[in-house]
Amino acid sequence: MVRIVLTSEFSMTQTTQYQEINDILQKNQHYKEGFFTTTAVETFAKGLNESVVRAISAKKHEPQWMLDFRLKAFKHWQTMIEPHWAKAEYEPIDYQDYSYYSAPECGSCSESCDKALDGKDHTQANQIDPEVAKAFASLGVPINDDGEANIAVDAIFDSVSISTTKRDDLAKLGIIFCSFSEAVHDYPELVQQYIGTVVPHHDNFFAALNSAVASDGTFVYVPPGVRCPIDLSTYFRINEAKTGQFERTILIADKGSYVSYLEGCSAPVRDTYQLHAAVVEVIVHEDAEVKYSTVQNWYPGDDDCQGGILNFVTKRGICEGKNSKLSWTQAETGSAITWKYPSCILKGDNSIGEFYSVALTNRRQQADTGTKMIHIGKNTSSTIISKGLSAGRSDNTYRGLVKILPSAEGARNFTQCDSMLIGDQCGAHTFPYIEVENPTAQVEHEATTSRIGEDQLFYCQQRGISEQDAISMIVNGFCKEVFKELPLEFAQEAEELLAISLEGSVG
Amino acid sequence: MTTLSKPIKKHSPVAQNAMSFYQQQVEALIASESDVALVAFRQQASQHFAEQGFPTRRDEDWKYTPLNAFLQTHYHRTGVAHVSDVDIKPFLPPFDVMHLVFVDGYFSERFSDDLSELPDGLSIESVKDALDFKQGYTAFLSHEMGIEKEAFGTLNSMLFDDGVVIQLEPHCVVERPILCTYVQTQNEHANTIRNRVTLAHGAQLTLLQQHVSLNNELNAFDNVVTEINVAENALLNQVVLQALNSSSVYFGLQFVDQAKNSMFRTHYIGLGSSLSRHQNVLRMTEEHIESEQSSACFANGQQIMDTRTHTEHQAWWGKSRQLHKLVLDDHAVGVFNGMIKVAREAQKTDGQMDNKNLLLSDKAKVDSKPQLEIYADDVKCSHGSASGQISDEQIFYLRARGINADDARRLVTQAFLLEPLESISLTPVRHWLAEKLMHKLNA
Repeated sequence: MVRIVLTSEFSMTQTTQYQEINDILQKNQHYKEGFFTTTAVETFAKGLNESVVRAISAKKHEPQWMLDFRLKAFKHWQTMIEPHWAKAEYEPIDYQDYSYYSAPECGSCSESCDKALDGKDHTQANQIDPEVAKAFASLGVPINDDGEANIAVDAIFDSVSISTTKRDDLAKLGIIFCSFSEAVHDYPELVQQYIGTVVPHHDNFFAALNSAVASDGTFVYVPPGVRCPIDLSTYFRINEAKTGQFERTILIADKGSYVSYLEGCSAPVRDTYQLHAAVVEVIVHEDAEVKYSTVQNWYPGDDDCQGGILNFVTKRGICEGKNSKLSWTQAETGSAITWKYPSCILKGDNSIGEFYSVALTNRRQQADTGTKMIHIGKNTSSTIISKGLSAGRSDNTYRGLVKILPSAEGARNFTQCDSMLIGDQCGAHTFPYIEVENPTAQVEHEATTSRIGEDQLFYCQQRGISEQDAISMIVNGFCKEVFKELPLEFAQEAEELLAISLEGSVG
Repeated sequence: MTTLSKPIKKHSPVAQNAMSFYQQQVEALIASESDVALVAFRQQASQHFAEQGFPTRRDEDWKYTPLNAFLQTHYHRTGVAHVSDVDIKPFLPPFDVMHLVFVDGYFSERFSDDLSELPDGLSIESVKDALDFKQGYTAFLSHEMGIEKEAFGTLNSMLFDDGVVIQLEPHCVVERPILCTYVQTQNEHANTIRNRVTLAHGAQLTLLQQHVSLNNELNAFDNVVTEINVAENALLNQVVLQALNSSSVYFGLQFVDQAKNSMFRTHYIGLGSSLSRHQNVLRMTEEHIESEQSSACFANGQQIMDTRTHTEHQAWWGKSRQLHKLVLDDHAVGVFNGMIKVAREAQKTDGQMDNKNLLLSDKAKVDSKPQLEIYADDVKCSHGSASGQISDEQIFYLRARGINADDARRLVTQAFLLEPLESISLTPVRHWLAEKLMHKLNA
């Protein structure tokens, strides 16, 4: 039986508590999202076993098929070994030392609690814990429907989705935009049809773990011929210490549709590593197009990257139909360790896969990120632009696979990986894998490594621009090719993030 | 719960059989050996091999190199078969060389040039002689090159028969190239060769090595380890021509240490073998070192050709250049794996690695992995890789000038494949190699 622990951090006297927060924040000035929210939460006891998996499923009132999916994945996960091939050094993770479920208690809605637990009536703002609402407000994430924002947001706090805005407007167009738990209840056929088709439960160690203990996530379905008029977005927030977040996102673009989806994330400053293992599955049908953008700003840890987020993510999309297009854009600045390879399976003829990435590492961060482009269909094409920036004592690795199968007649790939080193204590690495099995394919790969030239800095400083601003300018110029792919506000946020993350790295 | 201990490597029954077969071979070899130090050396290698075993597809470095077929044949070591002058003659190049011949892995005095009248400062011995008469074991074997990290290096330490030890004294410049010809004559025979080349400061040498088979029927296994030391201001030009028949197997490992201001240039030409793997491990330990590693390979039929380089820049002002070209026809599989590693201390490094692959048939396949691992910030490093087929425009250009389609294709392929040879400074050597490549291309 699982013991459910209710933690209430109010027991601490407020003064000492604020003092502590201030101390931690002082140490982590570079991470402005580092505050944490104190609210009554319901957190499972640490540990992972079959009854925990069952308890998570029971908490979410899930149907039998979902529980079966989880148990199957859990069983398989137990036979697997934690992968350590990435170019990052970390101690093996003790999976028993994490809690696998944490959700704010809904104190203000005691009578409707049962209803809320099955994930249905979460959308009304008055049911949101005021502390959680405050947290999102200070992150600048709109969780109420009344805003003018031209964006629909799904806000996820630890293991549950708190609110999803603009759903009614979207529903009029036939677009489903809701949390994953709701989708399991409301659209079981769709979920059953697509879950595990792109990332099977046995795909890799972290995907298996995610399939077993998936917390919440976003579910998007865009019906045939619909062009989604606003950007859809999800904001992930890890709050509780020693919990893992395992979101599962499924995005389906039916024939001839278009959607642009954004993702942001942050976590409070903690002194122990937190675990984040997400799975994202994207299915793009004939003539449809999906643009998937991520600004990843998980807490990177203190100056030695202690306590940062361990980010192990499996993102994969399939261009199922003809002329479909999937584009991944990511700006990665956070996390102590990043292990992430957004991939495209180009199955439909003439389908297009794109990957634009900026990965910045500072202090002792370690990032091993890149993409996989699997060409199956005829005349498929893919573009990879990766910009890696390393500063401090960090290691930044691009690892990418371009695979042309014999059936991919006339396939085309262009890859460009540029690395920039800032300081002489960091590392920048490029590990491309190129496998060509069709002679008509044209595959090109280029990689360069450079640093900010002294003459460039001199030129700027001579014109009265401070060293810090000059570096920021040069770095932004270096990343421009990728940032122009991000939606406007996001691009701005990414630029600012870069500037903050780079602070103090030169001097 | 999941166990986090290192997974135990599982070997297939075929691999286990092959491993115990080679262990038996080394036991027999040890039993007949009198040198205590050499026995200890082989025993150590044998113990290490028992733990290491043959690599599998699950090993990152062997992902693209299948060993199944190789493991199914057990290659014996039986000693030298009889060959005549007529057999050796066709392998001689059309220019003046100092010729050393190895038959089935053993140095052959009969076919080699007289070693008693060498120029001053140059010493050439077979490994057997070096072991018997000189300081023996210590001089030849005791140094740290990391050979044991490679399974085939360990296998070589266990079983090596013979090889050549070339030493150049300071400022000794040898104009005449030295050519080592390794001839396979027996079926299912293992030729395990261990070479050592040492250039003292200011010395210069051109070293040519060719691997050939006596006929097209036999299937033999060449396993070569060459250790090279290039001292301050020294210059070594090396060419390895792998022209075995299409059923044999070739594994070549070269470990190179370079000192200050030295220059090392190596060219690998891959033509033969059903399975071949040529690997350079190059360490540039001091300042102002220059190196070039290039290769040109043409594979057809069912051939699998693997070329790999590992280049470590460890000091300031290093410069390395690489150009690797692979042409693949029929069902051939080509593999390129390159790594440039720049240490924190290696500022101002200039490293460049290019890999270009041409696919001539629907069934050919290429796997390329050009890698950079960089820890210094003031460096200029780049790599490029491109794979594709001959462009129609090029063919059209030539056909518009009255050249028929087949000739046009041949011309374009030839021009593509011969490019890495351009940096070979000795014209006759370059022509000789170009001719070998063209002969196979036009066959």
